[in-house]
Amino acid sequence: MLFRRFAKFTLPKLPFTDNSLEPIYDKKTISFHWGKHHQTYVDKLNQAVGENDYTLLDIIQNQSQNSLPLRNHGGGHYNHCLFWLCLGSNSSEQPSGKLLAHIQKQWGDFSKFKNEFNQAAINTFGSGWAWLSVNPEGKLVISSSQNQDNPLMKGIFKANAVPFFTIDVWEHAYYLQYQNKRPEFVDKFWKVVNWKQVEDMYEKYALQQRPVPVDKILG
Amino acid sequence: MSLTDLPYPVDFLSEVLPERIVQIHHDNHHKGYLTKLNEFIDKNMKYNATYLKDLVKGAWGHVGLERYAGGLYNHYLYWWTLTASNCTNGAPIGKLLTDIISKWGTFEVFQSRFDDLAKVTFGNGWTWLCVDKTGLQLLNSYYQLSPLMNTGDNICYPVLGIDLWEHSYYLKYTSDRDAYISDFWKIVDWDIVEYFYEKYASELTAVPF
Repeated sequence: MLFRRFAKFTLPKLPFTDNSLEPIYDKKTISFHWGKHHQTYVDKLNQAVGENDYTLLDIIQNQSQNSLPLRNHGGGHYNHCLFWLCLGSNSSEQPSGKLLAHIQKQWGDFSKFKNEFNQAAINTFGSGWAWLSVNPEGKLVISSSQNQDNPLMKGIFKANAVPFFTIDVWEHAYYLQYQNKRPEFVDKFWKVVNWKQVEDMYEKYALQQRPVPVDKILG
Repeated sequence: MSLTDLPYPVDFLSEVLPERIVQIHHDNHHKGYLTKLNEFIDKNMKYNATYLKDLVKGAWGHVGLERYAGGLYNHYLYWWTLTASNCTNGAPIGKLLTDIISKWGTFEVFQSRFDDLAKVTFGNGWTWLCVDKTGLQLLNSYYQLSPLMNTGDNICYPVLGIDLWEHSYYLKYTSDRDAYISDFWKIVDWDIVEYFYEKYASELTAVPF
């Protein structure tokens, strides 16, 4: 080969400036989390993909059960993209509109939902994520996963659903600022959620049972 | 049970692991496993008055024991097999060295194999030097699992382990886990590791934490 194959996946730009989530989520953590950890997932994903022409959604939904590198690094790339999309300054601390109504219908009130989500995040043993998804029956479901697994992964996640809201509870996501105090990180996370974006992903994708094309949205 | 203090001052490992990392790791993470194990035993009194090493050996298939007895034991082994960088020769000198060379050819090759295993660990886990009925082995485990939990003939008695959970190194090394793995060798207390090897593991017995 006279030329190198163009790398398929790239690290997207953050949809917020790296200091705009301070003091909850500081610039140093964001720059390591995005610039080192997420970048490494992208690099290793490209190595694992090789010459194959997979889309990120295909990797997450289908290829992940056939290949551990695709599961780990494809998951890492997808999950971090979704996480960045969920974050922003000027958080309203809870959603409005259809998503709020849906949450209230299922949990009675927002704080009951928030507590259940927090418990899922706090009680994940080791590295993982907590998720809010819409299942094929149209219900909102809270779940958690280990490592870089994702509710879209067929054959890996028992009951697939379309996630649109997530929190990263790998230690690297919070250790510089919070150390072992994961509950404090989880509690403060709600102050930096970009509900407008989350509601958009819920209405346009999750409710329609279409996986959120996180890499395309971030561009 | 209460948590045993570190066998050295909290800044003793500071050439590789700063005081802050060691203090939080011991007083928060390690202690957390003790707290959770005590809670678990309170609800499962049949495990009361069992030695920790035996709780670990019998842990397979019992999530509470795998996590909390495993976590408690693994961290004791970790602290006890580390020392200040100027208090170690950097390699074993007796039977352990002979047996490492017999298995891997050179001490450097052994270290390189250990490093390779550590580097491919995805997420949380440990890399171990342990002894089974065929001799020395290098194994990985995930979460707080231990080769002591392996059943039947697969049980392997650890004498040295590196903690690869991010809390072990993140405040100094951040994303550069490979640098932590490389520096880890500077603080391994080979005197203690050899002692554990000769007195316990070679006899196919667990170090009695």
